[in-house]
Amino acid sequence: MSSLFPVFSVSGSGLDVYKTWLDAVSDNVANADNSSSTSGPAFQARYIVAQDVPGGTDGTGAGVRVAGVAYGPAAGIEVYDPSNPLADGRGMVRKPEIDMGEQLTALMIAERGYQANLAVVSRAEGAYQAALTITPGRG
Amino acid sequence: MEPTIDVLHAALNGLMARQSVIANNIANASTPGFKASQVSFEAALRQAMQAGTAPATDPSVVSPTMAAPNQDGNNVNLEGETLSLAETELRYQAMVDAVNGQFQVLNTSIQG
Repeated sequence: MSSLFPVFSVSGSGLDVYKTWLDAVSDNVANADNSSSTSGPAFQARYIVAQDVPGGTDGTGAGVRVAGVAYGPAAGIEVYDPSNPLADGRGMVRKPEIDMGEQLTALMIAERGYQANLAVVSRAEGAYQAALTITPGRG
Repeated sequence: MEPTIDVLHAALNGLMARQSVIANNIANASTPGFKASQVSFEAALRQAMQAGTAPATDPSVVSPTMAAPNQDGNNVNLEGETLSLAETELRYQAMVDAVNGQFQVLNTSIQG
């Protein structure tokens, strides 16, 4: 699925990356209020690192890929919550350091990016369908 | 081959390359440091037509756009790219219609 219909693989890579990003953000949001013992690390938010893939026919570009994952700080934030079963002798638990505003903004950007790539697929399909109607025989 | 068909063929290839570049720009709409590219082929095509020579089959030139980047060094304009994509698809379909029209003319002249 590389050269005959190149747009599909390029947009497919975009859908992949945005999907991975959406997964990471929803996981971060779902775990944003986790408590853990102060003897261990806090839940660490995942941040997807995207990178473009050069190449493609005539250097048009071959899409995008997930180059790696960056993590939020393991130290998190220590919060006083003595009723929590995980609280230490001082009544402290560890909470992840996650900025909810940042996560929700990322969620919107990732969703919009996913939709944009999906729109490219249907546009490209239109052009490819048109190309398939070229008939040198009877017009 | 009929020169008009050569020109239409080159235009179809140019539009297809533009579509690929736009797809790549949109796939990288959030990639830090990514610089958007654009495809130009119309000028080369016009030049060949004016000179009366057959255009190159693949006249597209890929170059970076000059748009100002945002904080993370990315300069993809998602709305602009989406609009160009719609335009490119319509122009592609118009070119396909023109190619089919040319074939029809040829057919008529062959069969009398």
